[in-house]
Amino acid sequence: MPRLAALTAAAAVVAALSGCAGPAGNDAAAASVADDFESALSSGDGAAACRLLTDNTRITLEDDQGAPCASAITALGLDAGGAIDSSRAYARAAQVMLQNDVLFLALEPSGWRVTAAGCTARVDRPYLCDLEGK
Amino acid sequence: MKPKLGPHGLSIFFSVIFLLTLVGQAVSGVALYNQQQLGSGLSPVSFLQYITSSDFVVDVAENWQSEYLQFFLLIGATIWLVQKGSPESSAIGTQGFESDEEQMVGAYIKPDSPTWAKAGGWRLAVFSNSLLIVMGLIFLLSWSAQSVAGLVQFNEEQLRNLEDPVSWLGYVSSPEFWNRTLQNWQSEFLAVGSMVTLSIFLRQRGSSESKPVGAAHAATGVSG
Repeated sequence: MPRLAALTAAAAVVAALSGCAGPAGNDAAAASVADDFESALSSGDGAAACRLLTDNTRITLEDDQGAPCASAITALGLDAGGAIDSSRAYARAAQVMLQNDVLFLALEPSGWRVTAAGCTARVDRPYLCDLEGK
Repeated sequence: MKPKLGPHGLSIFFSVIFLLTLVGQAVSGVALYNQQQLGSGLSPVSFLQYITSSDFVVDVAENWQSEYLQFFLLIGATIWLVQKGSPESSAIGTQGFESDEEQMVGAYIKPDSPTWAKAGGWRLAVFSNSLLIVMGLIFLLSWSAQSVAGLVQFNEEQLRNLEDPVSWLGYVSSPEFWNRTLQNWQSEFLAVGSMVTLSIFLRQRGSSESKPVGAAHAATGVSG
């Protein structure tokens, strides 16, 4: 029985490890997409920025602005986020802290995609974001 | 009655129903997870992605830790505590580690005793407590796994709600972690307490978990 129990314990460890936040590469991958998103916005390339949004966020933006995503996202006038301070990914969600902005991302089959941008922290409440899906 | 599954029927039976229910949990879990994904406007995940996710691991680990804690406490408590009339209890007056003769060690070792029981010294000391040690270790590992996978799941939810993630210390001192933990513990303690006390007055003919049908309610440390 101790052998069976040891095997069960080993399985528990493996299971625990498999459920961890994932490889550190996820942090970097989310940061890379955030960087691409900021670059697209700063160069005025709305279409490129829209390709990095989740479907939900893109549709919400188009519905709210009553315009195609590419023009609607530039019309939002999001401030330049600046350099990336940190990136943290947990399972299929990530947060990238920039000097002047906070981005939230979700892992989709096509890779990390932005769910919210232009976010301001609030005490004991969720971030208030200029761009987010509903 | 003759055994239906041979001399290892109990372990085979529980191994099979364990695997079936684990698969059932995974199948229903991925369906639930994907309902939530679609509800949030996100893409569904594959079965493989789900069973390697923190969501699945935390659900498995939080139940495992409480089960192993239950048996760890039952094994440990029955060394020193007795319950009059219960087949789960040692006979009254025999609390403690018992004599070498009763435990068949030292001068009372048998030819077919386990190797570590015959070895004496530290190996005998470890083997004498090995069931409690292993149950306790699996409990700690499962609880640790719950805390790590639960942290990932909790933070994923935080980020989806546009809130900051928390640290491991923040998570293990959070209401989320303790609510998950205590709701499992209370049910295990209720089940063990019920078994200890109901088996004083109730019987199941043929089960080693019960006293013989005709045994007195006051008979302690007797199993059928």
